[in-house]
Amino acid sequence: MFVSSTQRERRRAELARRKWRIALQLGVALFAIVGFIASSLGETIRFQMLPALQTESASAALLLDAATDGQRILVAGEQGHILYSDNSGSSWTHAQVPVSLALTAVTFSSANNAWVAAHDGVLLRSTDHGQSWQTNLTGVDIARLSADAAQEKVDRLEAEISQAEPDALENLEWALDDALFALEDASAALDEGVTMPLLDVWFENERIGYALGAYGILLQTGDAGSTWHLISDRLDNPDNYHLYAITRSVSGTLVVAGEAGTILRSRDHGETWDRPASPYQGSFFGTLAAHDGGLLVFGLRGNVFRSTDDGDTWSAVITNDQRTLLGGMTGDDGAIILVGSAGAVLTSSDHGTTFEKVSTSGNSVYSSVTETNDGKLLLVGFGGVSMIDEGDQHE
Amino acid sequence: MNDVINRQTGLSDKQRPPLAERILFENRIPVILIFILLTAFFGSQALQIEPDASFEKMIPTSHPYIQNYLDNKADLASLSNSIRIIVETTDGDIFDKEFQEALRLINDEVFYIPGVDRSGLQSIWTPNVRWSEVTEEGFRGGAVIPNGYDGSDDSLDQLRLNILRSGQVGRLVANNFKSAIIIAPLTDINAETGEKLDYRDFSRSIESLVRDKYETDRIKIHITGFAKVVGDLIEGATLVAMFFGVALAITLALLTVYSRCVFATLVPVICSTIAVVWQLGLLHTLGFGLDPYSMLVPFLVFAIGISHGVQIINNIAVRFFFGAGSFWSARRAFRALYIPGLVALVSDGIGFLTLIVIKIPVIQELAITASIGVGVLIFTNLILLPVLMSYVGLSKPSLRYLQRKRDNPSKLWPLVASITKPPYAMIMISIAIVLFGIGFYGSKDLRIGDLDAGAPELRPDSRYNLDNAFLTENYTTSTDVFVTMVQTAPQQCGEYRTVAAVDRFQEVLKNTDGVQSVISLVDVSKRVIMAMNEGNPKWHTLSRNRYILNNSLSSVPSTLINTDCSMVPILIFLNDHKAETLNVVIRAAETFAAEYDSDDLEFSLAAGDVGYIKFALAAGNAGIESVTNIVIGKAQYQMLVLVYGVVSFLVFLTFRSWRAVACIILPLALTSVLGQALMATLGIGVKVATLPVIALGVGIGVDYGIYIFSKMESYLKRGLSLYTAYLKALQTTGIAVAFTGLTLAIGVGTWIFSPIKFQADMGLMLTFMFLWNMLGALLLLPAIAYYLVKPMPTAQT
Repeated sequence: MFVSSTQRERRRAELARRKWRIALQLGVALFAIVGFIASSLGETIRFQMLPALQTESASAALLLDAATDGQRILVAGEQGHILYSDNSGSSWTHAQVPVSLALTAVTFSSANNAWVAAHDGVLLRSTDHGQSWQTNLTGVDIARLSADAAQEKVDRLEAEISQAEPDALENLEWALDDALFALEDASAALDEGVTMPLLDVWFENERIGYALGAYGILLQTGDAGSTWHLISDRLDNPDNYHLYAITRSVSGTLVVAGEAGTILRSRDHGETWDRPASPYQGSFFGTLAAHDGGLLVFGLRGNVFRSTDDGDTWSAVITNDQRTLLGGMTGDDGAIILVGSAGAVLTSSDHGTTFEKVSTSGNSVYSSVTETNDGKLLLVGFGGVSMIDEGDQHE
Repeated sequence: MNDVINRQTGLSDKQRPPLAERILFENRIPVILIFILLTAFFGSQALQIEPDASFEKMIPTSHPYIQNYLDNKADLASLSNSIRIIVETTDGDIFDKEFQEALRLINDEVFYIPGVDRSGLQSIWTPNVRWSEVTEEGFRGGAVIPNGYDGSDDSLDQLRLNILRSGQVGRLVANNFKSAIIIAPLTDINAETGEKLDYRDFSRSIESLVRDKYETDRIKIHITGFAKVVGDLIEGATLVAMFFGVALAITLALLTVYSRCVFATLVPVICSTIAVVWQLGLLHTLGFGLDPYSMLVPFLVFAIGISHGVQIINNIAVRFFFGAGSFWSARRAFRALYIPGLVALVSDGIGFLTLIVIKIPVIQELAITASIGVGVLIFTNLILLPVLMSYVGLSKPSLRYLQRKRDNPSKLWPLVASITKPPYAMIMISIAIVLFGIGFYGSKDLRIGDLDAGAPELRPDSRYNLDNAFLTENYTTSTDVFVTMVQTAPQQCGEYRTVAAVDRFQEVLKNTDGVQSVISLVDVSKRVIMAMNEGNPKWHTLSRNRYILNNSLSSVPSTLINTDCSMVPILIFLNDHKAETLNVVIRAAETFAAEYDSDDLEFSLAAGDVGYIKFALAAGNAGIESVTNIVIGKAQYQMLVLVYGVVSFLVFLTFRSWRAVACIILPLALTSVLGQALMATLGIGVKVATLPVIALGVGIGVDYGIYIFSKMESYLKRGLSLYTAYLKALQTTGIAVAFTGLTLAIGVGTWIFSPIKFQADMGLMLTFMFLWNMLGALLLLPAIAYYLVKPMPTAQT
């Protein structure tokens, strides 16, 4: 396509204007944020940033995730509740938590280190086996990361444009356009308050970990959370769909499952990501690695899909169950358990090829599941913690 | 000195009778005519008096917390005053064509009952009760009654599913699916006619149009709510007329036995009855109705009237016996008693009037009603009674009876009078001190507010309380709601910092003892945000994004947000409405407000200007009751101080002696303390219905002391020893005191059989207080007098 030089000039001038406008916006936004933080130290009370109340009702509140290192069980949920138990869930102790946000995910990264993902882009970290927690990252940090990333991209593209061959120019300018939009988004986020719910956190080992969440946020650390990198732009996720869960297959492939059938995959420790063809348009809320090398994604209205080729192709698993599946686990013995709404608990002893329903007394929504030392399933959701004997009461 | 006393007039020639005496006794016919005319007028007025009760009369309307409620009343319509009609099937469950048809018909019937706020009516048959669910495509939802419902098994199955999805189990549908509720909010003022809600009419229409019409072998109806309590109270209170009759008969019989004279029996009864007629007439003339809580006042007026009547008759009889003739006996009795009588009645009246400091309209009304009644007695019993007696005198049999009593004086009185002598006075005082101790100890357990579940005004086995027990047994949602109103500038109730504060408040209150659950728009918002994210509970939280937040609030029902988004109620459901529970909740709210109060988030709980956001207490039946408890808790001491202050002052004015005050007031104080201990022991809490009883006790009891002391003083002034003066006072006035104390106690005692529990409680309390006041005046007064009152330096003759 031919573009006249005058058009190009005009276009370039326009981009320059926009750039300055955005820079100005960004400045104002950062200023606003500084003001926001300063004011939070002063008069205004930011309730969700207050330390969690250690309330009696906590163990019966909405709990969203559970994790165990074989010794201690951690559960986390609404109002900043984190509880721990060293006796297979018989009794629970409150942890010290600096925020009262909804906490969406909890995981151990090593013997004494544990992580919690929360709304407002907050990550919490514990270095004392989950007893006390510190804020490691906030939504403001993430907004800055994304503003920096966008700015960096704009700078890079501008440098490229100044030296580009005329043929390549147009594509670069479109890319610059996109980058400026992203910068605009980031500054808008800083301006309007930070709404960056994190929905899952997972650590490969003590140092390398991932946190992911709404609007396609994906963060990576290689130094146990000292620095986090925003790697969302490595994903093929143009609509910024929510990312709900991450796992790693036996062969080391990373899989992220998300909204509207999103499945994203990386075979090189998160450096590059691709997007295998999705078998479903509804949302996936979880993904699990089976011990036989297989992978599972599951979500809305009881849909479960299994891949035996590291995520290239997916086939539906027949569960005969319409209940939405929200969370799951692969047990040490390879058993797979999925839980979800309306009291759904499904178990598989063949690495997720077939599932059996476990009848539960409640009609509760289960968000996650973990295993206790004495071989019971510990479910969390609305109404807090509940236990069932594994393999019990198959329908 | 020329002071020959005229045997008839009781005056020396130089003395003139008091002006009032001359006016009344020299114009007896006009006086009687005026009384007849006034009685005819007030009688016609009294016939028109209507029962009158309203929710707002029962609450401390001037308290800042209640001001908050009244300011927001229009937006809280569905919370403030509603009744619940529970339709139960005794056979199978509610998923039955016949049952649903009955429920639909009752729903429609209730819709048209005047007083029902139609827009707020709720049941599974009203369109405002909905269900919803999440699918891949988004939300689905609808009315609980399925489209095209025809009672077939299919549509009943659909109904069952919809009810489960609607979250109404435990609220509009029983946990066991054997009953369903229709909630009807009531309007205090009918919007169409502008008329006040008539609780008796309303209660009767509910009974006749719902209970009588639809109750069958298979369908049972249970009804609860404030309006029903009041309706039942009014129905029950009309039995007061019957108790009045019984008490009247008892009084007549005892008076006959006591006086052996038809006139001496009839005149006090007639005069006291006229007082009641005047009082009721005056109430209607002044625009008051008869509240179920002050139904007992006419009775008290009658009782006080009899008490004074007997005093006067007694005085007349003594003079008549000595041959003063009917005219001069009556006239001289008037002269002797109109000062102490006036003081006693004014003390009663002012004592009752002090109740007006309690800023609860129903108690203020009682104060006015009672003081009017006592004021009327000044005319009927101090004036009309002696005037009437001046015509009739006493009958022969009564004179013979007096003669007999004189010939064989009772051995009892010298015995009683010996209390004014050393060892007995000491013993009596010691007993009194011990009783004070017991009383103080016992009254420590006195509680403010309701001590039982349900409606404590009614008996535990009354139909209402059984209906209420059915409700609490089969439904999850408590009917005891404590509401905190969160106020902001218009359109700002949904801002993030507002809802975040509400969220925190809920978390704190949820973890307060006695709280079952807490609901506000925050819960709806979280649920909608979760639903918008395909039902994933990880999204069950508030959003900082204002578009998401606003969108979520658009589904908030009108009961949880007002029209211009300047007020959101936080509904705190409690286990019960016992005083303890309410105190804990109100303290938790106040602590929260104090902790987070700042320039931006102004957590003032009272009415007034709002900063950015204000947490305003309190509405909902439990909220209002807790404020009422606070007011009553303060008022009970304030009231005692005032009553005793005023009565002591008047006694002091009359006798010009603090010794007299001590002699008269201390026995009353003992009665008050023991009365409180009795309330504590019987589990009667201090509340709107029972608060006045102590003040009434003081007001009535002071009469006895004044009459006895003034008589004793008059003998002391003649130079008699304390023993003799008291013995003589006993033989004249003491007899009347003992007689009236017993008569009134027996008369009021009949209330103990009232179907209304609070009337029975009041009956018991008043019986107790009449008796103790009488005993205190007869036994404790002279013992105190022994220590305080020295015989007068003999008047030199």
